[in-house]
Amino acid sequence: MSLPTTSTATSTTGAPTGAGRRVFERWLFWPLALLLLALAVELGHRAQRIVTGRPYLDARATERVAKLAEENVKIEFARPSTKGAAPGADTELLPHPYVAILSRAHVRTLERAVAAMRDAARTELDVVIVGGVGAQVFAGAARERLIEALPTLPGWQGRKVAFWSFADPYVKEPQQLELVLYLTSLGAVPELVIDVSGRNELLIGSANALADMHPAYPARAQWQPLVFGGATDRASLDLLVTAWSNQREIAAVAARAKAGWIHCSLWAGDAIDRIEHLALERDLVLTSYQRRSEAAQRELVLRGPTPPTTPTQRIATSAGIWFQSTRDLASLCAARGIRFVVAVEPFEEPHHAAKKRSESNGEKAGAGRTVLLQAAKRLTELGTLWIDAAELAEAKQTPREVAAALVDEMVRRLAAE
Amino acid sequence: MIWPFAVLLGEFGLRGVLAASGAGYSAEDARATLTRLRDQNRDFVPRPNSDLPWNPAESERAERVVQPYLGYDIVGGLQLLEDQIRVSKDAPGQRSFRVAIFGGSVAQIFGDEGVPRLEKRLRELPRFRGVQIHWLSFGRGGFRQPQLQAFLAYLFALGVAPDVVLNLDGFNEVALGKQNASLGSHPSFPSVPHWAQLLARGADRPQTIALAAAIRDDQTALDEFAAWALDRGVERSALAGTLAVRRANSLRARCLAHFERYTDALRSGQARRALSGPALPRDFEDPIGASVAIWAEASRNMRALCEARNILYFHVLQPTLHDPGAKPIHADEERDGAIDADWLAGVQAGYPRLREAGATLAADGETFFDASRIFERVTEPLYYDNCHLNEQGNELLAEAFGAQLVEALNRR
Repeated sequence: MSLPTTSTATSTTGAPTGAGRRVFERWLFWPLALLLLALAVELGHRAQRIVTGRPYLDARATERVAKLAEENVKIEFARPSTKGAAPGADTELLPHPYVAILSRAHVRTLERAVAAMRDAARTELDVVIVGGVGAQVFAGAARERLIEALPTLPGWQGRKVAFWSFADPYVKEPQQLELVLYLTSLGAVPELVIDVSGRNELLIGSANALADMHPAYPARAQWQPLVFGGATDRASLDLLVTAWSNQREIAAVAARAKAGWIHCSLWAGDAIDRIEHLALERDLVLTSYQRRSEAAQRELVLRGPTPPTTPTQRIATSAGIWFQSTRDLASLCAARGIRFVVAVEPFEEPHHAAKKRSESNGEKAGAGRTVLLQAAKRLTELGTLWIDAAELAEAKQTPREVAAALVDEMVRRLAAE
Repeated sequence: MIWPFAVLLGEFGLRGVLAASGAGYSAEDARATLTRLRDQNRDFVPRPNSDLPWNPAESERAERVVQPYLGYDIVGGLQLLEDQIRVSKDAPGQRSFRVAIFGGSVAQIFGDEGVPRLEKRLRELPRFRGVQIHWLSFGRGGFRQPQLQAFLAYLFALGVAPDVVLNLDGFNEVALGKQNASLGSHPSFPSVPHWAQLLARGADRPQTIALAAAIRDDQTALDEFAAWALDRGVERSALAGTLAVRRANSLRARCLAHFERYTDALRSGQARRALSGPALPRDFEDPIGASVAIWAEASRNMRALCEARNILYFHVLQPTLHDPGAKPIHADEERDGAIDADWLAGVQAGYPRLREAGATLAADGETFFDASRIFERVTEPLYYDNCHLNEQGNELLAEAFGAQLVEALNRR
């Protein structure tokens, strides 16, 4: 058996002969032919571009792909929050599943309050303050007076007072009710709940309704930014996923261009078309996503049930929500052995509300307050202790004076109960 | 030419082996399994007996959205609420009777399938002659205390005024409460897998979208595979049917793994504080105990709100399959009732404590019915998955507490 030869078989002229020719035909001819064909097509394509006045330039194509890739990286899926405090700040508002919104500071207050109130060894008199802007002012201004006055009441003599204020300017019913429900379901049962409310329920409730949002829903200005981060339902996620896939594909095509394929005018032309097509589709899909987000949020998350439409209905509904939730809060407190007092806030209507009011006929100044006081009188029939803070506020100059008068009246009424 | 014979040999060989092992091959079972896996992969709660399109893959009504006082709701629930508010107000001269049903998906399904039997019971009372009874279903998949008390308070604020509040709960509290704790959220917060994705804070981050894309690919793959297999009737062959079920199971497992990673991704970052709820480390040592305590305290709150409004509050502890001793488990239930490890731990450790806490509620005057043992002698299959009752189960449940409900109404 002879061994196969390893020598190169060539003629004296250098042309492949015998085994060498077979190797050439078998392994090299077609790749070379294809390479030559590709080169011819590439050159033809470049020539055609020159003839048609659109010469292909590697540098220009590189620049175009780089620009598209750069734009692609900058695409933001998340909608930046346009409102609210910086993340981590005490005043940063966070969504809460049961009270809708809690500031970061109040989330911490809640944690501390629950831990404290569940501690059976404590002897402090736990007082929870709930409500809107009036409650917030009251919590600050009345603190010292409450510390002095509450321990004079029968049963509470000598007790140190622990305040847990959840008041915030945007809070309105049923948020106060939901908060106390949540606290008590966690086993945190205070001894006194002070609710200063009425103003936000009417003003924010009516403003909500004017903005096509139900008065029972949280204040639109605070709620909207919290839930407006984009719809995350299945169809919306599909849109996001499509946009994301396009973004990835654009990046992959751009990476291939960077790897050297850009020098092929045929490939690069198609690649740029492909990137532009994908980018267009990505932008359209993201626009659809954003529109869908806005529509979904507006219709369902933001709006709630169909809001009332006439001025009278708006006031009646808003006052009705305040009444229903306040009576429930009173019932809850009674069943839990918690003493409860509600102060109906004095409210001069601020500028923005007056402006909105002027947009609708018949919404006269003071109409809301009258309806609210009528509702409050029904609370008396149900045995709920309520105080008209507006009466006490007359002839008082500062919030501290109003708060002091309110504390005195509360203590007097609680002592008489 | 050997292949046809090999396939035939494999087919009959497999059938023989399965028959010999006591688990003979059933084409019907294989088809049902494929359908179930496909349905389960679309959402959490399959509803095989319902005409309503609750499947998110088929209907927008089943989509979950953020709700300010409940954490989340479904689109269908928000739409239904409009009607429920309307029927809560009688027209002049009209007097109707309203029963509001609260709870999770079991209560939601009971609202369809158990209510006819319950209404039949109520109709035995003379007071209901000529009176229209409205059944207001507020059951939602994944809902549990303290969501139910929050829902009730919100409905009262909207002016919804039922005559009876029927609260059918227990399972989600301990099963999802335990799962929440394992996922780093407080047991009092809504179920993380139901709620987390809606806090859009993290959902549109690229890395989260990548996981969402993986889930969608898995769901589509299983959907398409199940459709392909079911259309061709592959279950008629033991070999093909077994392979198809195995493939579907594998796709489902892959999807669940991606879903877990997705949930983890959502919990991280900016939304973490909002998602996790109050930091109460002591509760984490015993999340099931915390869940049971919240269940009891929130029930007290619901009762307080109802009694002050002269509404009958009727509380039922729902039965569940994996509560030891609750029911002789049928082979079908064994097959279809696979349960997450956290849920199982929650049920097994939580149900005895729910019964104990329920007895205390009853001793304190709450109208409480412990239905956790009503099926202890029923051998027929009543569950179509790990917790949801079939039509017969719902009827038996209605029958079990219907008499007590009538009695409670008679006392008023």
